Amino acid sequence: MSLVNLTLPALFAGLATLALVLFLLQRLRVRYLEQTVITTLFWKEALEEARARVLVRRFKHPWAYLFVLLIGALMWLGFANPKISLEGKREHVVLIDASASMGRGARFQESVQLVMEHVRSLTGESVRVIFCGARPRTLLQRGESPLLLEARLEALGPQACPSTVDRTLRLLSRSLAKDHETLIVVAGDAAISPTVLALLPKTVHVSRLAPEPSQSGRNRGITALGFARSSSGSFEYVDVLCEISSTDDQAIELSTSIGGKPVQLEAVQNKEGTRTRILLVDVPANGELLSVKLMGSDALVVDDTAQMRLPGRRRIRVVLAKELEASVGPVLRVDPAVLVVDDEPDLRITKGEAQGTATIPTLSFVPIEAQEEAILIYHPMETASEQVLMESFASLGLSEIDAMDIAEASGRRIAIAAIPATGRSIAVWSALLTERFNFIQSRSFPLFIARAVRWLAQVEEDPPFVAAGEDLAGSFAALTDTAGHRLDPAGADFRVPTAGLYHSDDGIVVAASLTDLSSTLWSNASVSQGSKVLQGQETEISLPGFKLDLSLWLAVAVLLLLLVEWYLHGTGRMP
Amino acid sequence: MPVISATDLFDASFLESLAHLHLHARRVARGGRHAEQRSRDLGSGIEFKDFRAYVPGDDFRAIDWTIFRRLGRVFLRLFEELEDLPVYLLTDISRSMYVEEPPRAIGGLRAALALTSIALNQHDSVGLFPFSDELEVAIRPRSGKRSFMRFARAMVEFEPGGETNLGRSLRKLNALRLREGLCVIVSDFFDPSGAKGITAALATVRHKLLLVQLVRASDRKPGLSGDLQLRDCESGAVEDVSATPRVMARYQEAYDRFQAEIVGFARARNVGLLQLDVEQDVLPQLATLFSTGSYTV
Repeated sequence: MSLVNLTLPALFAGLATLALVLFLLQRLRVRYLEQTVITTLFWKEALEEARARVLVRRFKHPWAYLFVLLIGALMWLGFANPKISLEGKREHVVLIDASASMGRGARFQESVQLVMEHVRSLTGESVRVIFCGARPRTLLQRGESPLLLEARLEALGPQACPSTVDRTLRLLSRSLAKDHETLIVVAGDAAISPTVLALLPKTVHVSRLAPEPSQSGRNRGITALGFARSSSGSFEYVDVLCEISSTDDQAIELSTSIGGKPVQLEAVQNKEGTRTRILLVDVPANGELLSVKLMGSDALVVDDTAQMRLPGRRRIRVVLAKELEASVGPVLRVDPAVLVVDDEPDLRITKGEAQGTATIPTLSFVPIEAQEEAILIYHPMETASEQVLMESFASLGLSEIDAMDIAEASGRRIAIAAIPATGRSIAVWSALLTERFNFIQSRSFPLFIARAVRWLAQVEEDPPFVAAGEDLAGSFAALTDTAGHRLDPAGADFRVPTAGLYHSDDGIVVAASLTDLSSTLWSNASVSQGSKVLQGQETEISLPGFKLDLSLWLAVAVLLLLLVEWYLHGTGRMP
Repeated sequence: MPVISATDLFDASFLESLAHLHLHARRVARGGRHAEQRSRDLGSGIEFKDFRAYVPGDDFRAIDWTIFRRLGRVFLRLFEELEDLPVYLLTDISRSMYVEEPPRAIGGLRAALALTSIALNQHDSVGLFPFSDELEVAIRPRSGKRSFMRFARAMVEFEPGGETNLGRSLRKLNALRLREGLCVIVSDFFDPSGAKGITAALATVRHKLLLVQLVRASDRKPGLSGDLQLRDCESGAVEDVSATPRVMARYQEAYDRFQAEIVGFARARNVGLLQLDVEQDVLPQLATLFSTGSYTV
C-alpha cells in the first residue's frame, strides 16, 4: 500500500498526535450535563469513590477513547489517501507516443487527454506511464498519483524524432515480469512491429488508445538527405541527394541555403510516383550547414526542413621527391584529392630518409636493409599500436596488397608493424617500387598511395547523412545537443535522438534531420483506430466499470463506527 | 415549585369512596375521648368487663344490687370504655416532595387526607405534623367531621421545606408526649442518614406506626446516561457521575438495599408499610391496606 498525500512517517506522526490529543481531551473533559435529582443518597454508594473536582481527571472511558481514536485514525488515513498496490497481480503500462507524427494538429493533446482519463480510471491499480519521446523515460511510477502525471505532462509535446515505441517495447520485453499479467496501452499513432510484439511474453497484452480518426491532410516531407562524391570528380565538391515523399502527387518546390545564405544549386530531379529524388550537383564541400526546405504548408511541419553538414574538403598538398616522380607521380596526379606542390606541403613523399621524427607526415621508401618490416607505420603515441595496425588494413588498403606474391619475389617474410612516434609516417621498402616486384603494376598500388596520403593528412570521412533516431555513420567521440545533453558512445548513445544541431568534442557541428518515412506518410489508415487489441487476448481496453476507492471504504467505516457509538451511547452502554 | 390546590387533593367521589373504610384499633390507650375504639379504660361502656369493691365516691348507678342482695357487700359493675384513636399524620414536605412531575406531595397529601377523612368519620382525633428538617405542628389532634376542610386547607398551604431529617422530627414528636396512637408517616424516606438512620429513628417512636412510602419507577431506574453532574434538590450537594452500565447497576443495588432495610424493619416491628406509587391512583393502592374494609392497628 502506498500513500498519495502523506509519507509513512507523517502518517504515523499524525496518528500519534491524534492519540495524544484525544487522550488529553479525555482527561480534561469536565463538562457535565447538569441534572437535579431528588437525592444523591444512592449515587454516593454507587460510585467507587468520591472524586475531587480537579482539572485533570482520571482516565475513565477506555472504550469511548478507543472509538474516537479509531474514527480519527480512519479519517486521518483517508486524508493520506492510501492506494493498494496490485503488484504481483496486474500491472498497467501506458506508452505515450511522442514521435513527430503526433505533431499533426492536436493529436498529441488528444492522446494525452485519453491517457489521463485511462489512468484516472485505474485507481488502486499498479500503473506506469512511459513517455516515448526521443529518449523514453518514465513519467509515472507505480503508486504515484495521476495528479503528478498531469503536472509532468504539461511541459511535454511531440518531438522531432521517429517513434520509439518499438524500442521501448523491446526494453520492456526484457524487464517485464512473466508471473503476472501486464496490460500495455500504446497511446498514439506509432506503428508497432510484429517482430517486437512477438518478443513480448504471453502474459503481456498490448492494446492501443488512439484519438478519434481525423483528417490528416496532405503532407510531404524530406525522407532522405545525404551526400556522396561529386559525379564531376571534383574532390572539393559533393553531390547531395534529397528524397521527398508525399501522401499524394503534388509539385515539389525546394529552397536551399548554405551557411545560412540562400543558394541556387544545380539540381537533377527524378520522380517515381509520390517519391521525388533531387540530386544537388557539385555542392561546395566547405564544412558549412546545408539547409533544405520544402516550400508551402502541409499537415506536418517538422519534416519540411532538413539540414546536414557538408564535408570540409581541401586538396592535400604533397611534396614528391624527384626520384619517385616516375613511379608515384602519375598515381598522385590522377588523385583529385591531391595537389603536388613544391612548398607548404601537408605531407612529403621521400626516398631513403629517416622516419619517426619527421615534423611533417612522410611516406618514405627506404632500403630493404633499413627495416625488417615491409611496411612500418609510425603513429602518434596516444594511439595503441595494435589498434593502428588493425585499422591500417582498411584505412591504408593493406588488405588489397598481394603479400604472398611480394614475399615470393623478395624471398623474405613480408611483415607490417606499427610503432609509436612523434607524428605520422609510413616507411615502405623502396625495393617494392622496382620492376622486380609487381607492386606498382598491381591495382593495389594506387589504392595504397591514395589511402596512405589521406591517412597521413588525417582526412576524416564525414558521415554521409545523420538522421534522427538512426545509428551514427561517423565515428564521433561524443556529441552534445544544444540543450547541453551529452550523447556518449560509451554510454551506448549510438544514435542522435532528435533532429537538430549537435557539437562534437573536437568542435565539429553535426546536423541531424528527421527523415522518417513513417512520420511523413502517416495516415489514419495506417494505425488501428480507437481501442483495438494489437496483441494478446481479445480484450478491449477495459476501463473498470465499478471500482471503489479505498478512501470511500474508510469513510463508510467511519460512518458505521459513528452509528455504533451512537447506538451504544443511546442504550447507555457508553457515556 | 408546583402549586398544589385543593382539587388536586380531593373531590366528592374521593370522599365518597372512603366512606366504607375504617381504622380499627385493638385497644387504644387510656385517657381518650369517648368514641368508637375499644380502650383499656373501664367505665360506662356497653360490654361488661369486671367487678370491683365499692369505694366512697363511686357512681351509685354502677352498683350491682343483685350481688349486694346475695352477699351483702357492695360491688360495682365495670364496663369497657370506648374511646378515640389518636392519629398523628406526619407528612413529609421536604423539597424532594415537590420537584418532580407530578410531585410526590400530591400523592402523599392525598393519602394523608384520605386517612384523615377515615379517622374523622369514626370520631377519632387527627393531628397534622408536617416535617422536613424539623417537625411542625400544623393542627393539634382534633376530631369531628367538620374539621376535614381545615385539614385540607392546611395541607394546601404547606410550603416546601428543606432537607429531610426524620430523626430530628421524630425526636420532636416524642417530646410532645402525645397520647399513644397511630403515627402515620407519609414520606419518600430519602433521608441523608440513610436506611440505618431512618430505621433507628423509627424505632424510637412510641406509637403504632404506619409507613406510607412514596415511590415511583424512576427511583430505581433513573434513566440517566453520560457524564452527569447530579445536584441534590434538597441539600444542593453535587455529585459527578459517569452513568455507565456498571455505575447504574451499583445504583440499583444501593436502592434495593435501602428498600430491603425499610421492608425488613416493617416486618420485624409489625409496622404497616404501604409503598405508594405516586404516578398511579392513590385510592386503589390505599385500599389494599383495608383488606376487609378496615385496617387494624
